[in-house]
Amino acid sequence: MNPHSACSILNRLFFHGVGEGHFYAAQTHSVSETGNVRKLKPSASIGMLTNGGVTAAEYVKILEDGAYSVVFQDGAIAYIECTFHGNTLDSYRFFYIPSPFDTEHIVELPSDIPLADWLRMVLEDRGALCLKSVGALRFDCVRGLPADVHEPHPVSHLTMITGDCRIPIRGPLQISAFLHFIFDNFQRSARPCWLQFSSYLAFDTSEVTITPEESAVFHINWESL
Amino acid sequence: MNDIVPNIDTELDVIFGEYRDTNAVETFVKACRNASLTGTLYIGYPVLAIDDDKIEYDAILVSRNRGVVIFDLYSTTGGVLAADDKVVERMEKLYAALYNRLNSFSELRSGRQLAVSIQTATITPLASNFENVGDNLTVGLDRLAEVPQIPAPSRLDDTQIEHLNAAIQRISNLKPKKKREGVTNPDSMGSKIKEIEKRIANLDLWQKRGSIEYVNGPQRIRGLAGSGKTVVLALKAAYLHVKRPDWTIVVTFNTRSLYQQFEALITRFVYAQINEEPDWSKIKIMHAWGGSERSGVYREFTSLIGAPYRDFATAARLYGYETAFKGACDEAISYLQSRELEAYDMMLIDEAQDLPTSFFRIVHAMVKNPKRIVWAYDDLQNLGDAHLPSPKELFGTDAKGRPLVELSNQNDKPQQDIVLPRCYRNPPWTLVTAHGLGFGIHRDPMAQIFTDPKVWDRLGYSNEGGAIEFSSAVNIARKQESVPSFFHDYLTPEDTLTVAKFDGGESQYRWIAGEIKKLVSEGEMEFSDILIILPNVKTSKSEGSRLYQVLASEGIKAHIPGQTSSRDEVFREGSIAITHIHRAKGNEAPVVFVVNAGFCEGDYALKKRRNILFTAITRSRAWTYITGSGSGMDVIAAEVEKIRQDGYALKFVYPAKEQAEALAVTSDSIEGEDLVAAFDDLREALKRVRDEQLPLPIDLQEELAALSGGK
Repeated sequence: MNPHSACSILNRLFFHGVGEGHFYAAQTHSVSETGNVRKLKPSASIGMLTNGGVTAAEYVKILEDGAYSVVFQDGAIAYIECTFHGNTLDSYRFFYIPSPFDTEHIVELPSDIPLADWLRMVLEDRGALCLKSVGALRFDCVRGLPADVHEPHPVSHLTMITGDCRIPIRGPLQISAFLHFIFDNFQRSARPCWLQFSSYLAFDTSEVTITPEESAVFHINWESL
Repeated sequence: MNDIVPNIDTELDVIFGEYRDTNAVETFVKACRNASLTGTLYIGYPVLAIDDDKIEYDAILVSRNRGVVIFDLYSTTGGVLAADDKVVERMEKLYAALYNRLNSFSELRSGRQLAVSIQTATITPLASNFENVGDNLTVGLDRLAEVPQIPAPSRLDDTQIEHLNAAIQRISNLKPKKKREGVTNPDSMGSKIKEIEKRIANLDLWQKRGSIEYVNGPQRIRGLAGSGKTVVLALKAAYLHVKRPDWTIVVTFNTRSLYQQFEALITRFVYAQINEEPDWSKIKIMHAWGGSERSGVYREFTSLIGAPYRDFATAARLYGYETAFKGACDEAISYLQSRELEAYDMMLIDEAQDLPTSFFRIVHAMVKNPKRIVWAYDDLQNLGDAHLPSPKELFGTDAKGRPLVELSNQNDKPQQDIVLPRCYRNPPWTLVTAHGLGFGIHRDPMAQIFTDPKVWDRLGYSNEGGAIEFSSAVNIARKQESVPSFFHDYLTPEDTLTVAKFDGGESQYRWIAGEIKKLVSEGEMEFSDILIILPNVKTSKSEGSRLYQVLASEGIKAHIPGQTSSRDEVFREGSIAITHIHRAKGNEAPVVFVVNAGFCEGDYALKKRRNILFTAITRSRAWTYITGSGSGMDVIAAEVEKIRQDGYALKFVYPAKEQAEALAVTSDSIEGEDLVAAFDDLREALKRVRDEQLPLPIDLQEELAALSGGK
């Protein structure tokens, strides 16, 4: 798929969702080109967040920096960043970060205060009592690792709980597969909105990158539907 | 020899290709019959290349007593013959192009000369006219009988006639997929399958006829799986692309892997006719659905009418996994209203049985009048569903309730409903056994049976005592014309079907490993010729792994598609495919092992189990092994033995109409399905207890003992 088309669909999806009240906020995505390499992402990058989850402060900073693709009504954040060689997906970072704040505080958000400011106030006011234990899910696709990386590092993997966690995945996830995963499992009430756009983000190719060694251990044999 | 015309010396067989003027052709064919011309008369066929151009033939007669006669039907316009020099020039070209074509066949030459006489005749408006103008005849329709006959000693023999038809049909044969260069023993199985593959590559006359016969409107081609429908559609598309290069022709299908197959076939067939590549801007190979990278018929449709497009992932979520495409097409067609899109001149649809009816309505809206829609339909995909949907069911009706599409076969008109009667995939003994087991004819009660006995005839069977009647003893066998002769030339019933029963454990898998070794070493078969099917989907993962390990321990490479390799790649060079029944569907292999076949007998979900067995056995192109253990396997083995003793015929008493109908409507109940799954779980648990020597909980021991009467 042409990254420019994918970018356009993502922007339409997110702003339509915001308009319809499914999402709290969304960022505009754009495609930057360097030679044949095209990078699709929101204007601010989220970085690694290697500890497998986010602290309340990190979460608020993400909101303040606008380093997200979309913020759902329960405060969860989805982040999409991918690199293409031409029209071929080469690498990506997909995050799903549930809000570390208890949902009741997000529901109480006054309409005239930005979410980040509000949560900072809640944090100052309630301290640790406003937090709940959740993690974050990060899907990575990384190719061409340096030779000095000796830890298992599948091309496509899922990281959760700790940054050392890299659960092998059968092959790279396309953007639509990641978003289907989110809307099927965590944001089901917004699924009808997503399904109006999902078909236009679909990719035909299904690449298998998992190695026999990786298949022999616990892995995710997930094929995009 | 010639399958199409049983007696070419007394009958005239007309094959209607694409032609311009219906009246002119009808009048001409009638005149040919009045003149008692015999042989094969091709209308609008072939198209040949000459002088860097192509030339179309209006009509060609191939007959023993007149040789080849080229007829020019259209040089008359408004009742006036075109200028002589133009007629002469055209006839010379027609003659030269056909001469070149025929002369390239050694069988049609005698020394350096063409052994076949070619005459040319221009049909004139004056019915009583007959004259020689140079080398050309000018003939009125009333005097066709006077076209000169060949002196008896020079008349063509049967072989020459056959070669002549083959040359005129100008259909190059296919190439077998495997070269099998490692085959050295002429008596080995590898050698036999090599010969069979070569023979399959030679198209039969039904296939050739099916590909030429053209209706200026809708047409259906049907036959059992493996009867060559895909090839016929590709040939037809190629011929019409050559004949009408201005038309936009679409070839569409359900299975994505057919894309490459159609592309290769159409390229080959177009090149064979005019020595040129197809113009891919005019002949489009499109998946029925389409994807983000490739267009598809449904996708184009949504784009044309402004309906939302759904990819599979989305449609499956909106409309269900099994009915995703139906849901997407239903939704799209609701946006059409009364519009006619007229995007294409012609559309050819393969695998029509796998596409929803709303897709056909989409096709109908997209194809221009006169709705040149050709669809190929697999007869009997499922034993329980012999219903052949009518054109009305597929395409629907207009506002007044009249069918949008109707089919009828009439004499001296191109056939709208073509049947391909031969099954090339399965040896006849295998097919009969598969049907016998699938229906459970030697079981009481049967699993299922056709409620309309006429279906047997449609599928290429005949009954010894004539028409099949309810409540009567029948002896049903394959019709001779439905069986390609090469099966009898290279195979015998004894070696094509092997049934083996085992005590359980690994003995079955060890035996299979041993047979595979023999197949490869003595039989000169390749690993990729072998398909192992596990009928029970639920246990296929664990059983597949066990079998995989046994094969590996014997040095046999195997793979489990979707588990140890891509789900899209069933066959892989140098490796044996082990797969459950769903993935085996649509695939075929020279050697098929149906393992743990005892699963296909049981009190619950019997129809489903027998359908699985039928599907599994009919994946085999030559040799089938049915193996298993337990009492279910005893029943299956006994049924096979009975069919074998009956000479691979199905001898049984056809149920009464009410019984047949009762069997048809008796569905495998949901409760039954649930129970089957629960029993499977229990079996699996008991198996682990036995194999891993685990303790069986005391309450279960007591329960099982009580159920089995304390034994």
